[in-house]
Amino acid sequence: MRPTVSEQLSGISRLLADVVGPEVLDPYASDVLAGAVTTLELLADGWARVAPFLRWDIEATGRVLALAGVDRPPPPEDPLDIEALYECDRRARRLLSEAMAAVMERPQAREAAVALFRTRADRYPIAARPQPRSGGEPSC
Amino acid sequence: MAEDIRAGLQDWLGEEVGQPVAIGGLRRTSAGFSRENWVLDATWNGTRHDLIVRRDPVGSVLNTDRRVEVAVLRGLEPTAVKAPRLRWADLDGTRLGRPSLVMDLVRGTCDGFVLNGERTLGERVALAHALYDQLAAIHQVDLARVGLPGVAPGNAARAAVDHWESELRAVQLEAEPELTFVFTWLRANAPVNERTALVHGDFKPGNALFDDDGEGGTEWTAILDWETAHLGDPHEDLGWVTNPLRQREHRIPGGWEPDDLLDRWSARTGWDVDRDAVHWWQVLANAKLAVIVHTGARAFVQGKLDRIHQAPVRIHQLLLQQIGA
Repeated sequence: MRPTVSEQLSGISRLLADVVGPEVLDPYASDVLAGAVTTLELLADGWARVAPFLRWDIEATGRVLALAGVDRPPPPEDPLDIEALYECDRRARRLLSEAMAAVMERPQAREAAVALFRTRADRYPIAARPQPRSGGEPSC
Repeated sequence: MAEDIRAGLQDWLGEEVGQPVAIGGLRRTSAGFSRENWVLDATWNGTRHDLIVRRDPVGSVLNTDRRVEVAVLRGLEPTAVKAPRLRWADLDGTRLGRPSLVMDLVRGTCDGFVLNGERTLGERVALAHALYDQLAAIHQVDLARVGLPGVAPGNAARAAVDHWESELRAVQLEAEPELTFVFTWLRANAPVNERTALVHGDFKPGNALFDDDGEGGTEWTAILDWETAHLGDPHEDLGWVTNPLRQREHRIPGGWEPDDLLDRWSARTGWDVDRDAVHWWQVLANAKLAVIVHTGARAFVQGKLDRIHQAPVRIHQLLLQQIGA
């Protein structure tokens, strides 16, 4: 399946940066284009980790919900159905948010929630990179 | 779009000054995440005026009230605070399609990282002193002058939690249990403020302009972006400017550390610094930043913002560290 999704995303990013970018003279449009190119690079780098991440997140969030005495949502029937994974993850995280008072009251659940939050941030597949920033135009 | 803005400005400014106005050099700048900024020159009576128009965007990373900004800018005019001069305001958006403010364009450069730029350490520390003395001046503005809605005595922190948690609920695209966890901590540990002051809400070198002072030095010429100004606990701004996440902007290693900033602010205002309160407001600052990112993400998904915002997972990590979780 070549070019792969990653190769296509990287290639589009290169086209926009190297071919389109130099022709864009308007500062605002140029700034917006730079942001779009950065995002394409993030997607090229991280999209393949999205489905494994969602499966992990659903399972890990479910374990915290169980410790808080909340039923975990059933996993999707098709573990490769990305939209079903998204929906299941959304439901699990909504339940966890709603159960936060119970989580806080139970030390084991609280500890597990913090561990989940920390690991989740480390594993998040499409996290923004810190951007080097310098001077810019005055806004006033 | 530029031609619509030009036509609208010609009509608007012409009515304000009572004669035809020639608009030149109109362009949208790339600066500003929360507003559309248009710079231009306008000529009437044979005199050229450099102006900036700040128009509400279709979508933004911040939902703010233009009436508050107008009240603050008007109230600051006769004070020691270097706020830009507001010329005209169109609060209902009849002039340019959306609420807009016309202000004098202040001379100067905007560089959010100037405190860690090319200047000598001594020059940069002097710049820091002058900048954060402006923060102390803001906090000492006579509150009757700005006429903003107040907060119940001692209740600034809880009011801030209420506000930003409510904002999160309004903008989040999906549940954010990390932030629910943090807001629960903030609510349980909210400090009681001793005094109420004018709070800038987004004080930073990137919201200020500097220029040559004509004597071989550099001076700050304006403090910008008053859209988040409000009455509250001055520790809110102190937490914002000492937030570890923003230290590359505010801190000069070996020359201007957070303790230097707090000590100088205390000396300038004559008020004590409550270090625990500063820490609490640092946590609130990062919770607020996370909410701002979610606001931007929602606006992007709705097609109202041209910048993409990813989930603020790095801010989540820092928040957990800050609250000792």
